Amino acid sequence: MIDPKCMEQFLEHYDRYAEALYRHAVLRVSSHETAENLVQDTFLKTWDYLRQDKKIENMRAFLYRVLNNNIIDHYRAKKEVSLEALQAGEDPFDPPDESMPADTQALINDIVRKLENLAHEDRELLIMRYVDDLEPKEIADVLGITANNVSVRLNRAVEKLKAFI
Amino acid sequence: MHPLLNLLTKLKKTSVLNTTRKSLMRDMILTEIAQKEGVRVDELLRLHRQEGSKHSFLEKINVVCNRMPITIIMSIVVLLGGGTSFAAERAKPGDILYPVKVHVNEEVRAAVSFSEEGKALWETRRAERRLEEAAALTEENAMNAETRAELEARFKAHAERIEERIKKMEERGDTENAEELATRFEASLKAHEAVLVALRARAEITEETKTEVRSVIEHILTKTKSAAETRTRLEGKLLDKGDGTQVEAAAEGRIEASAKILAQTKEYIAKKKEQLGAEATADAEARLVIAETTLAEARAELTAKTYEKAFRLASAAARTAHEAKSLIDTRLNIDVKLDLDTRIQVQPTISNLPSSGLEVNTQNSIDSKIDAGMENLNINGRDRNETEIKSNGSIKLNIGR
Repeated sequence: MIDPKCMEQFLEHYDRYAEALYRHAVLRVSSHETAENLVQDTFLKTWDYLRQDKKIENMRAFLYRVLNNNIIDHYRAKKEVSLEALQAGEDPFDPPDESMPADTQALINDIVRKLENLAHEDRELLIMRYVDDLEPKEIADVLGITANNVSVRLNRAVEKLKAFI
Repeated sequence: MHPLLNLLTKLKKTSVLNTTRKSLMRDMILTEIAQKEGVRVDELLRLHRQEGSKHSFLEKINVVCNRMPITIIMSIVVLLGGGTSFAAERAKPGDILYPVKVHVNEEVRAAVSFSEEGKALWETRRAERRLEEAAALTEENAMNAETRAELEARFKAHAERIEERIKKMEERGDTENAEELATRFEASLKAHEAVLVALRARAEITEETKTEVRSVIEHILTKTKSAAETRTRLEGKLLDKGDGTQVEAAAEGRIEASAKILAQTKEYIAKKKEQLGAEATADAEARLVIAETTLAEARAELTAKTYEKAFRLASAAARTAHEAKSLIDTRLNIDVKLDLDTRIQVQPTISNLPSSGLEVNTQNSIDSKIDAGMENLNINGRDRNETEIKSNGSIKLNIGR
């Protein structure tokens, strides 16, 4: 039987974090539909975890970790396709999402194009730091590395940015 | 700060997920959890005491079974394991898994389609499933009064919901999509009706089945008629946007749109050729030829600047193509062997073209159509229309478009 409190808390976490996770996913996979699927899957996996009576210390970090893994799996599956798409100079987000205001979509497109100059690991870090607003310590939690490591890599990533506009 | 970092910070404060989509995503998650846990979705929701549930679309599902309590259904599903849902898809009224098909599979799919169009398309599909079941039962001589009544009631409910959705789309100003839906629904109904007529005419069908099927056919015809009326009215709306110059643009647009539909239908036929077999493929290709001829006429009218005629002809061409596709789908979906000598005739919808001077006595046409059995009439371009009409006698038709 399902513990009502468990369901209630689960849904509270959904309400609190769904949009942020979606925003993160959208920037990394350049597709609204995929982003939605990945976020849904993230919550479903989290539910499964909770149902096994396992405790989650930091829900936010947990969610980002699951999402990140989902995104990585997605990339592995899509590896060849995205290379082709990049080479063909395709627009990210084809077809566009009608429920999103045009200027928001434009902002996202702009960001995604600029991010393409960076390696995946750097994108990950910058998005988590500057969009998700995670502290280096939290990012360390998500990625399974030390906070020190995170700071170093972040600095390097920002340095690399200076080479591009 | 580096410009990219500025952009990222800006996005941080921007909303990217509106309430509706967020709510829908949540509902999809809950639906999957419900399936996994083997509970009803509304039970899950009762666990959740938040106010936010006023947005939940899941609360609109009434997953209540009239004859078998849903808990028993879910127990069957759990007992029989994961394949049940899939196995239920083939069920007909009277089969044990039929309630699973209708109350679980279909309701879950209804819950997760979230655009107005998606919901309408799924509702159309549900209506079609009832008619496919009717065909399967007919073929087995297994249609009795009880199953017939159940099918008719469900079919009627779906058809009415489709009509409501079309109306809602129209009220929102989404005339084009509304008209497309009406067209598709009309085409599908005609295809199914034609199949039932053809099946009913077979020698081995018992009198009881014949009587019951006839009732179903009449129901379909009623809905076809109202779908055709809606469609005609919506076409009129698309044509007449008040401003005279719009008519030319509307006609051109309609011709282009219809050309696309014909091209898609051609591809579809090519794709399904093997599955269909020689007879059905020839059938479909012949219909496509009719559609192409009609479209050519539309172009001629466009050149002649008779825009309204051009528009309506282009629409008629699209409808014929839709009917061809519907017929293909019906043949493929119904697990029935339609023999070589069972040709399926789809009746032309006699639309009210201004110059056609047409009178149709609907009731007579139903009777004579059913009684004649409609076998072995050849499709021979437009001559078909005149051949059939002549044999009915009560229809005056001036095919001078």
